[in-house]
Parts: sequence; structure tokens; C-alpha cells
Amino acid sequence: MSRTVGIDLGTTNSEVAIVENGQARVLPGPDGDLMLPSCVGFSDSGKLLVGREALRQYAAAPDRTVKSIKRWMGTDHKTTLPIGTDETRDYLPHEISAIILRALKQRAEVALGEAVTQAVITVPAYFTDAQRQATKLAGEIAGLEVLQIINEPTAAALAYDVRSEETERVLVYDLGGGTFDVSVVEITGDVTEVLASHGNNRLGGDDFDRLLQLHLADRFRQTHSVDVPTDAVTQARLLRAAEQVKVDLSSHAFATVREAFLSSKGKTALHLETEIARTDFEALIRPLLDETLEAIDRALSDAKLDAEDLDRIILVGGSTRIPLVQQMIEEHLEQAPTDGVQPDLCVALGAAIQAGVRVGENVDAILVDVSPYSLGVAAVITTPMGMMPGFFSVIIPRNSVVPVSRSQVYSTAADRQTSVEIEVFQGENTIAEENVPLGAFMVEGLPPQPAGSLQVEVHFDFDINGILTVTATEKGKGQQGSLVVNNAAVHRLSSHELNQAREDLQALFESDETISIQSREITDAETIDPDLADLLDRAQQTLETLDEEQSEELQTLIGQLQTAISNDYDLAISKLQEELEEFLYYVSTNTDS
Amino acid sequence: MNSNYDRLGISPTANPAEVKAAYHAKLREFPAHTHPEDFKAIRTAYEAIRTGAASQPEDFFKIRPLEATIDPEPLNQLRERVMAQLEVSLDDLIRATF
Repeated sequence: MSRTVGIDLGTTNSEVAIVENGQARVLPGPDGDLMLPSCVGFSDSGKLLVGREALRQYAAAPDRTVKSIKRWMGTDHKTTLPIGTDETRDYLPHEISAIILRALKQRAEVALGEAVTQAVITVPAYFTDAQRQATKLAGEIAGLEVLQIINEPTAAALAYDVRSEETERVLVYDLGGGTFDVSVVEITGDVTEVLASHGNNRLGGDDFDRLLQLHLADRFRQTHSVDVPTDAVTQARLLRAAEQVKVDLSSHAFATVREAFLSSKGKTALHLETEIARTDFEALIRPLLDETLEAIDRALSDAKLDAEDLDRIILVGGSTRIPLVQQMIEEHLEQAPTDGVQPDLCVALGAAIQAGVRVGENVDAILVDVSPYSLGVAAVITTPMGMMPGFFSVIIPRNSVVPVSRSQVYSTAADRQTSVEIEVFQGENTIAEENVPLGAFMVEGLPPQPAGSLQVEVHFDFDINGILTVTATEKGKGQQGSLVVNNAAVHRLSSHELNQAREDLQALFESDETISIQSREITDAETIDPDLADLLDRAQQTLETLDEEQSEELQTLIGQLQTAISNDYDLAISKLQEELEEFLYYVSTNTDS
Repeated sequence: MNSNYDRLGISPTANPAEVKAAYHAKLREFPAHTHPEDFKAIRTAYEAIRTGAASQPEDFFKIRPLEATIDPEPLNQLRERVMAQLEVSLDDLIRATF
């Protein structure tokens, strides 16, 4: 029997989860890690690296490593990676994502000991059509049948277990590595109904890193009167330092940066050594966070609710660990966010729940979601100043529940008009051209008649996977034209091309399987200090002796510690080391007694 | 006229809580991913009842003129554009005169 999983394909980290016996859990990798960094690279010998190993080489080899590919989904942005000693290949964003999904599939198969062939994959609520289609295609290339694409904040709400029969109104604020969403959700028992969503698909932790990176470069210039070199390796080091500062500042008021030998002046090596205050960082990111508050207001007003109507605020995504984020939300909504939500894992858990629903597992969850964009056509309108073309006439307003079908009747604008062009757009601007074009088609052969006397009905059908079908029908003679808006920017693969892409990816993984396992052992032995390695060994052994609840708790701790180690987060390591020691001591004393 | 209530299987005298409970029960019976057409019909009925505007048969055939849907915003934009053009032509006029 093959299994169905839920996948959170994130900008920074990705997770795979499953529902078993009505309970959702995130599946760990072979090393116990629950999160897979969304990072892909090739080693200098041309071996494929996915996850931690790829991330580890990022600062040293940015030209052989790619991260945050999610930002480019749905575009034809090419990433050139060396696949052999002197061979390179251009990868499209969905092809890189397919590698990550393939690694997650493999991780799930190893953890479950069974084939995994179907998945529900999450995307930001504010992802466009093209971005959703690219995500679906990536799943197909990875060898997964994509049962459904669901929205991340919605998935988080599904995983959030209120399950009281009283209706709760919840605001989900999801600030990840590259995208921001806010959804207003109503939860009544097992029904999770999204009332409104808004967001920005290019705003997240990566932007904060970038601002800090520029700030560090400024500091360097002020100290040494020399610019930081612009080469990829130096910039990658600076970016890594910025990420570290950001993480440190979530728990400390100051963070120290030491990057040695960033540049040189004559024969003198120049180092970056500086201290960043949390307030410096906050000043940098505040304007971006102000935008997220505006988005909250719009989502609330679209849901016809006021801040005081909210019963709960849930924070999702790694960037919500930033104290200023929590503080600004709390001030704005006059309510503290709810504790106890796992900001990194709840999206994957929600995806697994929906996957369970789709394959008839024993889970009670009913999902009603919306499309955050308005959809419509360009139309001529009659104004007191005459006829004006190019206005955006909305047929499906934003935050309509999907699936949805709507029609609108239009009249001809000119005498003896024999054809109409139907141009389809997605967006909120009243000028059609300012919105995202989705496609256009002509309806021809209309009978010549006076302006306004001929009617054309335009019908929009928007399905659960975000595929829009537009049909235009002349009401008298029945002349028709139609358009299926599908894969707007991603070119559609034939079944032959899809199989080819799958085989290529499969080959890439097979040739590297043995080597990547070996290299993992070597690097682990090199980078982890013996005490930590011993501790992790003991933890792994203890894992077998525990009941389900405790073993899950331990698994999470191990995962967190490994993430901290792989990212060299010293503070987090020592803290987690302590926690893990304590946990092991606790369970050992309790089993003995 | 009562078709929206029939669709949810309730009487037109149902209170909002009953309407919602009936709507949720129908969602369980007809999930969006397996019964998209039923789902849409249920949703349409629910929205109509909630907004208090149960659809009247005569509405169905009514043809709405496009003029009725003009927003003030595009009109303002239009006015600004026309004004901008007017100002330019005033400049030209002065230039042509002197």
C-alpha cells in the first residue's frame, strides 16, 4: 500500500507529515531532523546535496548552491549549477523545488518503510495562479500525485486544534522566509472556514536578512573606509552573518558579528567586528512590518470583523520569532498571540490532515477556503464623458469561497461590432492593464447590430485547485469562445516530457545515494564535538524505549538540536543540549522507578 | 422562492444558528473536493440566506445596465486625466498666443 503525505514546501525549510490513527506527525529524516532546509547544491565533485549539507556549503560555495528558490516559483528564472567537473545545467525554479520534494518523499519512505505516491502540498495563500501551477508541476516531477494545493495559513488553522462546538474566530499571521499571509478563519467544531486572506508573496525573513546584510556592509565601510568586496563568496559570508545576527537578536538585546578577513587594504587584512543592537535591527524592519499590519486590517475588513471580534491570534512561520513582530501585532490588535503553536511545523501537520481527509483516513476536518484575488475582464464603461475602454470589471470578487462559478453579461460597445476580445485579469486595480494578465481570446462571427443590443455572457469557473475556465457566449446565436487558464507562466509538460524529467531526477538521486550517506557520516564526525555526538547517540538509543508521546517529544528535541548544530547556532546548541540532557535524565529516572 | 432554504434542508423561519448548523451538515455531506457542483449550490444558498437576499425569480431575468456599476474611483482618475490634458492645452494656448 502506498501512502499519502502532507508537505510544507517552505522558502527556508520544508517538512513532510502524515496522519496515522487520526494523529498528524512530522516525519524525521535519517538523522532525526524534522526540518529539511530548502537548499540544493552540488559538491565540488558534482554530487547532489539537499538540505543541511547543501546549506552548510552555501557560504563557501554560493555558486554551487541555491536557496530560497520559492521566491522564483512561477517565473522562468534560471539557476546555473555545475553538475560535473566542467558541465553546468540551467534549472528552472520548479525543477529545484522538485529536487527538494523528491528528498522529502524519500525521507517519508525511509521513515515509513513504504512507498509514498500522493501528497497535499501547501503554498502561501497569496501565491498567484502561475506560482501554484509551478508547485504542482514540481510535485509531479518528484513522482508525487498532487491531490490538492492548499494555503499555508489555512493548513495552520487546520492543525490548530480548538475543536470546541463554539465558533472561534482566529487570525493566522504567517510570516515565513519569503512570503507573508494573513487569514481570518472561523473554526466551528471540525469545520474550518476561511473568511478572508491577504498577503504579500515577496515579503519575509529573507528581506530582513538582506537589510541587515546591507547594514553590516555600511558598518564595514564606516570602520575601514573600504567597500565590502562584491564577489559572491564574501557576500554569502556577510548574508550568513546577517542571518545569525537576526536569530541572536530574537533572544538578546545585542549581537556581536565577527567575520575575519573580509577584505584587505594593501597588506592589512580587514575584519568586520561590530555589535548590532536589537533596536538597530528593529528600525530596519519596521517599515516592512507596518505593511503587514495594513494587510491585517484589510483582511479583517474583508471578513467584516473588527479586531475585538477575534478570539485568538496564531503566529506561524519562523519570522514570527522576532520580538518586534509579536509586539507590533499585540499593540495593533490589542490582544496577545496564542502560545503553544509550533510555528515551524503546524503547516505541514495541517497539510497531512487534509491529505488524510482526501484519502479517507479517520480524520474529521472540513475545509472551506477562499481565493484572495479578484478575477475579471477588461471592459468598456460608459461615463458622462463618453466611452472609456480598459476598465477592470470584476466577475469573481476577492475572498470568494472556492470552488466558485460566476457570470456577468456585457453588451457590445460599437455599432455592427462582429467580434469581442475577452481579456482576463487577476488583481485589485480598477485599470485592467495594472493587474496580472491571465490570458485572452476572441469571440467572432457576431451578427452585426447596433451598439449595446448584443449581449455576451462571460462565465468564470474557478476550481478548488485554482484553475480558471472562462467561457463567453453570445446570447442570441450562441457564438462561443473559451479559455482554460492553466500554467500561465510555466509551460505545460507533455506526459513524455514529464516522464523524462522524473527519470532525470531519479537518476540524480540514485547516483548520489551511497555517496551522500558516506559524506554525512564524515561531516558529522568532523563538525560535531564528541560530547554532543555522544549525547545524540544516547538520545537515539533512548528513543526506542519510550512510549509514543515521549518519543515524539524527544524526536523534536533531537531535530532542533541537529538544526542548531547544522546552522552553528551556538546559543541554541547549548540551550538545547541542556534541555536534551535534562529530558534524558528525566526519562531514565522515571523508567527505573 | 424558498429554494435556498430547501437546499439547506431547513424552514424559512430558521434562526441564524440553525442556518449555520444546516450549512455545516451539508458541507460534511458534500465536500468541495468530491462534490464541487453541490458545494457551490450550498454555498450560494447559504450566502443568499445570510445576506437576507433570497434570490427572487424575477431578478434572474433582469438585465442590469453597466452604468449602474461605476465606481467613483475610476471617475476621479478620469477627471484628473482630463484636467491634466486641459492644463497642457492651456499652456499651448498661451504659447500660441504670445
